[in-house]
Amino acid sequence: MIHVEDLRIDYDDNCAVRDLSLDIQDGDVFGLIGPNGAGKTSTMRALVGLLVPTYGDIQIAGIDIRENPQAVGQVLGFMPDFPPMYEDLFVWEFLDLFAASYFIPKLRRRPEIDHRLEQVGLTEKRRAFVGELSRGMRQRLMLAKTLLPEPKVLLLDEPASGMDPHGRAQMKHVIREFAEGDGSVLISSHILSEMDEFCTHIGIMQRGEMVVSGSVDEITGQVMGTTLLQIEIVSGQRALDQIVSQHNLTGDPRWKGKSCEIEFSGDEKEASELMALLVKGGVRMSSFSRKRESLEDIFLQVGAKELS
Amino acid sequence: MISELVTDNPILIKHVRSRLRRPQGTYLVITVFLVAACLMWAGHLGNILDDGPIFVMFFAIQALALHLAGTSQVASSISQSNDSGILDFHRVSPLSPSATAVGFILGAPIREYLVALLLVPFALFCALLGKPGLLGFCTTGAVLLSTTLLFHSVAMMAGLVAQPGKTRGANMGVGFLLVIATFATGLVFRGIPIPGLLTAGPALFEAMDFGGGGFPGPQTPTFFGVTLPLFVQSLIYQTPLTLFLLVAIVRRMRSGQAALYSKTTAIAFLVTVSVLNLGGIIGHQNVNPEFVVPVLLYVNWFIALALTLAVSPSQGSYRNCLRRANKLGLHRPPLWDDDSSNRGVVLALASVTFAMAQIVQTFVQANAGPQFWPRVGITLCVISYFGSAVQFFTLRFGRRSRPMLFLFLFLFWLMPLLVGSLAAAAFGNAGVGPFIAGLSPLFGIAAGSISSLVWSFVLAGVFYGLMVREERRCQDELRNATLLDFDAEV
Repeated sequence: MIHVEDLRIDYDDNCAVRDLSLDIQDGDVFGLIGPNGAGKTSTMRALVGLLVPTYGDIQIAGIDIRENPQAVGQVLGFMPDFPPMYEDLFVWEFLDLFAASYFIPKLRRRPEIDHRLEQVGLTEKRRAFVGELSRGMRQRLMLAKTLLPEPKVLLLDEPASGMDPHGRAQMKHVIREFAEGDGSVLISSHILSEMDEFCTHIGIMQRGEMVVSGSVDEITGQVMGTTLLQIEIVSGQRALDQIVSQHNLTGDPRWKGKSCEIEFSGDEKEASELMALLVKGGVRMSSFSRKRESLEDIFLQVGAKELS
Repeated sequence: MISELVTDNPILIKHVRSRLRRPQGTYLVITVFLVAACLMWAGHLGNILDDGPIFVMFFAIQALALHLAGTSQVASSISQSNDSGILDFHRVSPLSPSATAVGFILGAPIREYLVALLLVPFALFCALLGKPGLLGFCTTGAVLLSTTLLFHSVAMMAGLVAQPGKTRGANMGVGFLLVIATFATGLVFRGIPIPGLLTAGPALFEAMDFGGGGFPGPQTPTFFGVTLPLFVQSLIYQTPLTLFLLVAIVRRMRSGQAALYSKTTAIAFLVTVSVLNLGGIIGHQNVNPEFVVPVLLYVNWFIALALTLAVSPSQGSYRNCLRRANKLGLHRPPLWDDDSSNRGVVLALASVTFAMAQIVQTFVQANAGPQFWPRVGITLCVISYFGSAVQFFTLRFGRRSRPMLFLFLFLFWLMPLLVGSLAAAAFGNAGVGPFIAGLSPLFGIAAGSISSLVWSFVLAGVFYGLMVREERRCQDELRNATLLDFDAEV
C-alpha cells in the first residue's frame, strides 16, 4: 500500500533522509520511531507530497505521488502533530470544508460528518467554534477530518499528543478498526508504550537512515536476539526439562517454584510447536506465554538515546 | 469544472461562512444602504444625479472597497493560511490548486465584493439618468472587476512568497505598487501604457469624458497604431498579466517549495510584457523617444529582475538538482530544470530585452538618439550581472544570501547615486556627479553614458565568473561527498 524506494531528502548540506526504502502492506500498522531530527517528519511530509525529495520513488496505493499527487490525495489521510485549523468556523463547517474538498457528494456530507463526529466523541461540539476547542479536542477533530474521505492510507504524526486518556483510547480503537478494514497506517510517535499496543510493524530511524524495520517479532528477534518464554506448570517438571534440553531453539529453564522462564530464539510458529511438544510429552501447563519486549527496550537497545 | 471553481468551491464557501456571519453581515448591508441613500439624497438635493459626480463617488467607493480593503484582505488571508500551515491541507487534498487559488481570490474579499455589489443598483440608476450611460457603466464595471482581479492576484502572490511572520512587509509592498500604478496613470498619455492602463482610472476618464472631448486625440494611447477604447486597452493589458500571476499562484498552491515560474514561463512573461509595451509605442502619434525609450528599458529591466529572483534556485534546491542529475548519471543538470542555475534564463531575458530594443529602434529610428544603444547595452549588462550576482550570492551564502544581496544593491546601486549627488553639489557642473551617479543603473540607463556601460560590462564579467566558480565548487563538493558515501558503503 505504501512503497518507498531509495528516498533521499536534503536540506542544504544536511541530509535528513538517506536512501530509505519501505514497504507497508494492507492491514499493517507501521510505527516510525526515532529521536528528534531522525528524519521521521521529513519522511512523512515527503509521503504526503508536501516535500519534494531529492530523489526516490514513492507510491501510495499504487499511485506515484510525483505523477498524480491529486489522486494520492484522494486515498491518503494525513494528520500532523500540531494541526492548524480555521478558528472562525464551526466544527461542522470545518469538516464540511474538507468533505467538499474531497468531493464527497453534498447529500452525503451531513450524515458523514455526523458519523465522524460521533466516532471521535465530538457530537456535542458540532456547533462550537473551532477556536473554542481544547488541544485534545482539536486532535480529535483533526482525526475526524482525516477519516472523512475514507482514505486507504493513514499517516499520523504524533496523533495522541494532547489527548486525554479517553481520547487516546478512542483513537486507538479507530486506528485498529481502520487497519482491520485493510487500511495501512504509518504512525510516528514518541509515546512508545502506546505504539507498542497496536503496531504490527516498526521501523527505527536514526540520522536519516532506517536502522531496522520489520514486524515487531522479527525486530525483537533481530535486536534482542531471544525472547523469553514464561511457563507455569501443574505437573511434569522433569518432562519439561528433558524436552527443553533436547530442543535447539531454547536455553536452560530457570525455575521459580512451579513457573519457569526459558530463553527462546524462535518465532511465534516455533513457539506454538514447542507448546504442542510439551503437551504431548505430558507437561500439564496452566500458562504458556512469550514475553514480548517493549518497543522502548528495543529502541534503547538499538542505541537511540535521544528519546524525548 | 465551473462548480469546483466557483459554485461548490469549498474555500470560497468557507470564506462566505466566516466573513458574512449574520450580525456583521447584516450591519454591513445596513451601513452600505444608508451611505448609498445619503449620497443619492445629496445628489437629488444638488440636482447632480445625472451629471456624473454621484456615479463617480459610487465608483470610488467600490474601487476603495475592492482595491484597498479587498487587496489587503486577500494578502492577509493567504499569508495567515500559509503561516499557520493549513494551506498544506489544501495542497494534499484532491482539490485542484486552481480551485484553491480561486477560492482565496474570490473568497477572502467576499465582504468587499458584497459592498461593491450592493452599490451596483445605485450606480446603475445614476448612470442611466445621464452620464456615463449604460455603456459607460458596463465598461467601467468590466475594468473595475478586471483591475480588482489583477490587484488581488498581486496580493495573493505577495502573501504566498512572504516569509512566515513577515507578511506585513509583503502587504506594504503591494500597497506601494498600487500607489505607484495609480499615480502613473498619466503616463498612459505619453506612450507608456504600463502601468497606467493597469488601473481603472483611464477607463473612468473615458466613460465620464473627463478629457472634455479629448478622446480620441493625439495623446490617446493606441495599440500597435490602432485606436481602441481605453477600457478595451485596459483589458488587453490587464488580462495577460493577471493570467501570468495566476500561473505563479497555482504553482505555489501546488507546492510551497516550487519556484514561482518555470524558466520558460518567465521568458514568456517578459516577451508578453515587451509585446504589450511595444503595442503602446508602435504607431503612436505622440511618442517622444528621449522619454519613452528609457522608460521602456526600465520597465523591462524591472520585470526581468523580478523574474530572475523568481526563477533563481536556492542553494539547497541547486544542490538537490545536482544530486538528482548525479543519480541519473548526467554530467550537469538540464538547463531548463526549475532548480538548475539561472544562467540560461538570464541570457534569454537579456535577449528578449535586446529584441524589444531592436524593434523599438526600427520603429523610432530617426529619433532614437545617440544614447540609444549605450542605454540598451547598460540594461542588458545590468540584467546579466544582477542574475549572476543573485545566483552567486545564493550559492555562496545559502540562507544568508539575502542580506548580502541587499548590501550589494546598496553599494552598487544606491551609493553611486548618493555620492554622485553630493559630488554634483560640491563640484557644480563639472560632470563628476553625473559620472559617479551613472555607475548606478538607476541613473545609468537614463544617462546612457559610455562610462556606465563599461562599468556594467565589467560587473557582468566579474559576477559571471564568480557564479561559474561557485557552481563548480558546489559540483566538486557534491562529487567528493558522493565519493565519501561510496567509500563508507564499501
